Amino acid sequence: MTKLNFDITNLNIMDFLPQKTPFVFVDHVIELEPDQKRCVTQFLIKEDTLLMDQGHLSEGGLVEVVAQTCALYLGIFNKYILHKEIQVGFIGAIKKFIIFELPKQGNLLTTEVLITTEFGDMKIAYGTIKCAGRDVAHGEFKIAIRNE
Amino acid sequence: MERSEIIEKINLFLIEEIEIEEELLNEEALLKEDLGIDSLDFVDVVVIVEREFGFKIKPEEMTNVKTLGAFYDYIEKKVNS
Repeated sequence: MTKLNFDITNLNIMDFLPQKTPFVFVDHVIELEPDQKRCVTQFLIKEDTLLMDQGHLSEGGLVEVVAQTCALYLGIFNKYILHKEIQVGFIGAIKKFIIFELPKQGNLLTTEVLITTEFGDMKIAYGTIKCAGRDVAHGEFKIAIRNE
Repeated sequence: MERSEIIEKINLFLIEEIEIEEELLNEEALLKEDLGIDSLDFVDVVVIVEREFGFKIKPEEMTNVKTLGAFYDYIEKKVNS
């Protein structure tokens, strides 16, 4: 079983995200299981969070939450498991992304991403966002990794 | 598994999920140039092959698979080996 030998919650996520503040939709990585290709993050929707619409995080914001969780998983996996440079990934397609509710300011989102398929530089990730145990959104993201 | 069954399953997927017109599906059709299957589509093909035929396509095995006929051949060989 592959394990990371440090506390993942203390990781500086900005080392792994191409986005810059304030366009950041993850606060912490709380779990990362390399063997299961699984990553869980948390994000508290704040007063100054971008992509808000009438007090609620918009659809675009929810997509960013999943996309940035994917980026964190891939970046951390690359650096600490594969011992490679962090690669840039692009969302190639989003499939069957179902939104059950738009969360509001003060809500804490917990997002799980599972890499379900890998083929060369292409990956399929399944993302699920929850808030207080309820499903907020879930769907499939196709990610293309840019090889330098 | 019979080749006809493989063709039927692959074609059904290409028509329904990748939205390729049925009349374009012939053995000589080039996957990329004629059918427009790009790497984003192909990752879905990888998923369906694993689900329907029970094995994972390896990228290095696809290097010489350029036509739909060659793809049927590849699946047939893997399934019946």
